[in-house]
Amino acid sequence: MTSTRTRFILSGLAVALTGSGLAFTTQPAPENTDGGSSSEFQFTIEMLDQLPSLPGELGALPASVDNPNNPTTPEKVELGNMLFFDTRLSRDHSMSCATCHDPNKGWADGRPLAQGFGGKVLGRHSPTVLNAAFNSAQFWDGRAPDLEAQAIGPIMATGEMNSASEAEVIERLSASKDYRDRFQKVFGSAPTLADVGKAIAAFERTVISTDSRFDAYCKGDKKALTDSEKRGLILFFGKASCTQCHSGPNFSDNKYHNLGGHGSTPTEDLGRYGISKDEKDRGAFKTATCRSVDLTGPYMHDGRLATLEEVVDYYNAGGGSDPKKSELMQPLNLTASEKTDLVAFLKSLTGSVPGIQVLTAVDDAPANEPE
Amino acid sequence: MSDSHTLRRSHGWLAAALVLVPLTAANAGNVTGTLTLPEGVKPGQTKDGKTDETATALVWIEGTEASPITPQVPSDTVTISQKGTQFTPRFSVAVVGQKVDMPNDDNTAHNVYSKSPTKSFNLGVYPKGESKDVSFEKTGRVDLLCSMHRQMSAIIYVVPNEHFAKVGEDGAFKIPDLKPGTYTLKAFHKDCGEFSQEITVPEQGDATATVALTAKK
Repeated sequence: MTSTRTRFILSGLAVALTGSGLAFTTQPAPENTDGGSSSEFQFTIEMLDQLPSLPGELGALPASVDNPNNPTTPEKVELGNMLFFDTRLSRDHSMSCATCHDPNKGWADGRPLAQGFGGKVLGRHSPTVLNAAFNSAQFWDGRAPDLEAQAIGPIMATGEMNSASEAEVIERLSASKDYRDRFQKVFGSAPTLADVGKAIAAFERTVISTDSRFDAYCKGDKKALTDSEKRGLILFFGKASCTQCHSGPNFSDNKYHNLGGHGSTPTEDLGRYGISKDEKDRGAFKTATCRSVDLTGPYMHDGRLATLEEVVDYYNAGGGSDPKKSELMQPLNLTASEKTDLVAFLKSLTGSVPGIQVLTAVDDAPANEPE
Repeated sequence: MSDSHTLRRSHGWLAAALVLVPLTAANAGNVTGTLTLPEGVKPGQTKDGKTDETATALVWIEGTEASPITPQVPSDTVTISQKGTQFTPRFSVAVVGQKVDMPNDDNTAHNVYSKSPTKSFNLGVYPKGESKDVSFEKTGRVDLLCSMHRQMSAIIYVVPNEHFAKVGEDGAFKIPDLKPGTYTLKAFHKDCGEFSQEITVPEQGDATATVALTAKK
């Protein structure tokens, strides 16, 4: 640490020397250099363990989450479970929600870019469903205010599950007595597309993971994190400034930021700008959660970074080169061991993945033929 | 001048405060002038010609034995925010005894400290929305740093009284409302040596000065 600090200062001095051919002295003002003196103000693991609360509003997640407009009931969750895994919701019965949000792939798809209808590669990476219930907006551009609205989107999107029409979806579901009975019991009516969204959302609110070692640490078990992970946590809210965006118990400010790099997709993705038409949102995407991030690679809105090490390197360099990038993106000057600690901390954010038993509606009528 | 002194004695401080402004305004002079830096560098630029807020140039007046100045510590607070992992502003002026507030407006931890001879202090870590304050007992340069973010730096220059002015990019400055008398004019730029010069504010009119700063020895 000390030697690295010294190296950095020396290289800074070299720049100062070469850059000054003027009448000014080449010696930097002694009081204006760090001189390694900040080491005595180093924020230590002992200090971390004594904090009453963590900076960046980091903390444990609540054990459950609900939407007052769509209260969770066991029956609704069961219905949502059936719908989530049901290929009836895609035009040719080839896809369900789980095609891109696979429980065995961190509730995402493990691909850089999502594969939509007919195997067509889409423009963005499939976000995980895991803990999505804690987001205040859904999709990379935040165009859905809640899970209820989000769930319907891909079912109807031409590029995704490509259902022919709302009537077609309802007709397929209504062909099953099991579905008719369940919708009647849960919503008091025949199936509607809005209720499909509500049931899937209720199910997704059970797809949460709140028992990571970080959560245990926040709840008072100071031995739940290793020293390396604790050093990573200090970097996370300090030197690396991750909490400028990845803040709060779900590690997201639920805002949109341009990190400076979106050039690898075939067309320039405007991100949040497409929704807000606000110039500052051009190329900006929603802050993704860091929870369970070990399970949900590859990373970023276009999946262009394969590993957490690459992600840390990307931020360490100050992000991409887009001149419109957020001013929060600055080089971090992390050392190799600091990067290791930061990745170790990120991996402590993975808890148990909820064991979901896939339910299937009894199909008592012949399924509609694929078109 | 003598009128105001009579008033002050007969009616006390409150009355003086109420009427002093128009009276002294009539009898006060400004110190105006221009400041130059070596090698064509402008105020607001470092010695390398790079625009940098910490390279702001400052001029101020100090009292002398003949013309002492009783400092008025401004009641308003100097605020230096930690925002976007930088200090805002990066150059501030504080009068000795004036409160300097340092709110953390970032959602990240900062640890503001200074090891400057003027004052050495360490504010520790505090969260967004909280603030700590510092005041200074003596004059001089204070370099602010954050132990977590090495890109963060700011300068506070502590002056003895409220008679100071930041110098414009064109080198022009104006220190207003000084009573007639002979004072010391001083100047600061982070890359330059100390500057000190006698300046006389006449009974009528302004004083002008040319301040030529030289490179730090």
